[in-house]
Amino acid sequence: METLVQVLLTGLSQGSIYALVGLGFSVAFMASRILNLAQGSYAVFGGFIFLTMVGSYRVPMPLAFVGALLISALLGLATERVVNLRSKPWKPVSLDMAVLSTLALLVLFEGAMFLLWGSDPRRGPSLQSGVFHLFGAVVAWQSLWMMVAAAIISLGLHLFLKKTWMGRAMRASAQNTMMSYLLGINVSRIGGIAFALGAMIGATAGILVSPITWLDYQLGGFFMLNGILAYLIGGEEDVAGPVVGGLLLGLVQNVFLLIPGATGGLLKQVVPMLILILMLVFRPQGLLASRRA
Amino acid sequence: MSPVDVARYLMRRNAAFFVVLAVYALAAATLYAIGWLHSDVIVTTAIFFIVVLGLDLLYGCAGLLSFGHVGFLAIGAYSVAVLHAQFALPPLVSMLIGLLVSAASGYLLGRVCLRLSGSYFMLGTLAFGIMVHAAITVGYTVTGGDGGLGGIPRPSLGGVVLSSDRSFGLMVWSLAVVLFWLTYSLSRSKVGRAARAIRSDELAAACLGVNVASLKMNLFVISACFASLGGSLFAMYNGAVHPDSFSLTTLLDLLLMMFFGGEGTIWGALLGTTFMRLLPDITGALQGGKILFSGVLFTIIIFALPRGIAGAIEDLIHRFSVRRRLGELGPAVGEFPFIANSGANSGTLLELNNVSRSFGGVLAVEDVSFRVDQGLIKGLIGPNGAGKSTIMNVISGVLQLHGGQVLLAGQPLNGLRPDQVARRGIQRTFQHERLFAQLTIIENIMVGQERGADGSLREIAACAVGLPGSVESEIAARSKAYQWLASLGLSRYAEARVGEVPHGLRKLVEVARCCAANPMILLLDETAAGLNNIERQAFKKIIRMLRDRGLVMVIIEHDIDFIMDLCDEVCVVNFGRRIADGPPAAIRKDPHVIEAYLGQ
Repeated sequence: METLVQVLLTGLSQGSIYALVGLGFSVAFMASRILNLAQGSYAVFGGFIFLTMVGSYRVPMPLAFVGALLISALLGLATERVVNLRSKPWKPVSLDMAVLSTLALLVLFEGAMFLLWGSDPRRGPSLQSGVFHLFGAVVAWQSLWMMVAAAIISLGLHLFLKKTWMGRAMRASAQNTMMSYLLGINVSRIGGIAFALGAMIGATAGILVSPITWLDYQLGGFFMLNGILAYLIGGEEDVAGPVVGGLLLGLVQNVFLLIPGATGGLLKQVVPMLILILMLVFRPQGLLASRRA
Repeated sequence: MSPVDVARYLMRRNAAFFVVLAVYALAAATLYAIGWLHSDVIVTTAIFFIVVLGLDLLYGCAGLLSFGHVGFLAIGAYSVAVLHAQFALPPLVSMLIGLLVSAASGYLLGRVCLRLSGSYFMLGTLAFGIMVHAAITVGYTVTGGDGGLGGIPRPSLGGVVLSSDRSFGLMVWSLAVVLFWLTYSLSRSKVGRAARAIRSDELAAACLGVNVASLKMNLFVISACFASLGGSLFAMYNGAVHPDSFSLTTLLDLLLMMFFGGEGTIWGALLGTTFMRLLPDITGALQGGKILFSGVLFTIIIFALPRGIAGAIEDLIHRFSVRRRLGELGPAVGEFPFIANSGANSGTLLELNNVSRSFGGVLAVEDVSFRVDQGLIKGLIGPNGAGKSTIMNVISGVLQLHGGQVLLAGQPLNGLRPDQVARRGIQRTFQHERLFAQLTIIENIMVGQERGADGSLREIAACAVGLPGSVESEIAARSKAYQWLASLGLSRYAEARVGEVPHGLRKLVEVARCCAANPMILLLDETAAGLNNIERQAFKKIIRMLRDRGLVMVIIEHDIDFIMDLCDEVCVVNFGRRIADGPPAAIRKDPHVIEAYLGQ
């Protein structure tokens, strides 16, 4: 019982990180149809900035949090500008080129982080240190905050997309960029905002997870993969998809630990990829979505 | 045709191969003489050149961007390492086993991923690459895990161990040059044209008789084998393998080699690989900034040179040799190199029996029957949304039938793919012109010739090796394609790119492209739409001349006068049903037709 609760809670908290990265990915993908491979880098970048501000410059935590989010937003904005450098609303960038340029940016960010923070893994400060007990399981307060953050952000994002003009404009420009442009939506600004928003959500994930997994400059690829995986498992539903997919992914990865003899390395790496391939074979549209991707 | 002609044609077609190789050898010898090139760079360049050749064959031709090739690289390398450590197999034998494993896993991965579109294909292959990497770490008892695996001997050829870098390098370079020749030939042949047609427009390629699925699959497997081969050679050269050599960074290096060199040119792979191999020497001083540097470089290349160095050179040559010659058209319609290959001289050629097709709950075509007789032009008209285009899509196999039957010369076409329908002798044009932007005008016309491309391994091998039969058939096809262009007065545009040809002429090219495939019947879907009056008259004349040559046509058109003037029989549909069928004079008087068009 205790192990089960422990495993479930660990899975859910890990899953909420995947969900957050997936949400950030989903926002940008939804508004622009661009598969942003640099999405994971915002998480690492945001986490690094937060831990540097708090650790080296003694900035109060809330201020550092806002600062890290702002810088990540700028990175997101810059990504969108670079990807769409040559494109016009009536002449969108080709998907191959867009994916390639985000891949290039992934490496560029990796290189920049290597220069700034070196190759050693670093640990960020917890929002609230210590643990509490729940049904015999030991839970870190930080894990709880991860779940709370995922819940709040997904709810907020849902309301933003469905209830505000900006959210609707975002969904419209994803479906038909040209038409949205002709209807008076500033699609390039919408794209920029979506990327900035996605980067901020990703940075939140990085800041929250750094005390638990530590950060190093190469983690961007890992976050990106799990975020995309969360998105693919959940399906092309703007908010519910990545959240459900992320939580499920976290649970599956950890539930396998209950099997005696299973090693951590295998699960961390092979199982998610296996799930991805199985998903692509049997249900490419994802669990929740009804339409085909 | 004498062997000399064949050889001369090959020399001309593959001229770039010889020029590039000669210039490259000269440059490399000079650099080596002044001490800028190490033997290490020379050998690894050849190894990665092989891998990038495979990548470019896949992306540059067929437009499939694989992120999984580091996986095949790893399979090749670890086959050599593991089979030596476990069973002491000689490296060259393990290399072959690695090739088999890669081909098999490439086939399975292709089955999964080739159905996916664009971004999802990249993701699926990326997942494969990471899985192989993970499997190496997980199976550390066999693979050595993060520590790697060493002690791999150099291969021996005919009893001589290639232990020196010189002999090993010679072996690798000979292999690389042979593969370069094969790949270059392939990309310039019928298979290469079909692949680039797929990259431009999959549906149009299928409708010209290209077996899209099979060609993509075979190219994917072949390109996986190239990567595996490179991996095996890499392991033999270094004498050890390490999982870090097959990480995301390597994937990026490979892509950088391809894009910097110039995707789609094949020979660009040589430039890109050399540059990337020399880069560590150039950037040695940067130390920690190396990753940042390659990121910045990659970003700049994507924007500044989207087609890479080789692509830029090819564009330059194109500008000076071809674009200057574009200009006034020659004399218009001449002699068509064409006599329709109809099965019989009279009787019914195409027959639709109670054809139905629905979308969701909407019946777009319901119980439509009509027949097209030999030697006739049949018109198909009806108001917007009447189901005309759906009928065309059903005949050409683009859409599956939901009821009824389509017969061509008595043979049912049910369940055939578009490329199979095309090879049975039905060609079609599209409502909006769908020429292949990746091909020149004459190559566009050649795609459907020689019965399309079936994408089989045998065909690919024949084209790569340049078997005399395949080269001769290509020479014949090219000269016939020229005759087509000449007869339409378009010979000046033969080597032009699609973007350089005016809209009205593109429609003519599309018709010529269909006719060059020697169809029994040609379906024209609103081909005259968007043409001006002069073009329209010329077009009418061409259609009449084709009819006189025995070609049967079905024409969809909105312009009633155009149809009535041209067709021998007209079938009218409305709301998915046939409401009239007969000679134009009768159709004009038919009360149902008048009601459909004018209302009551």
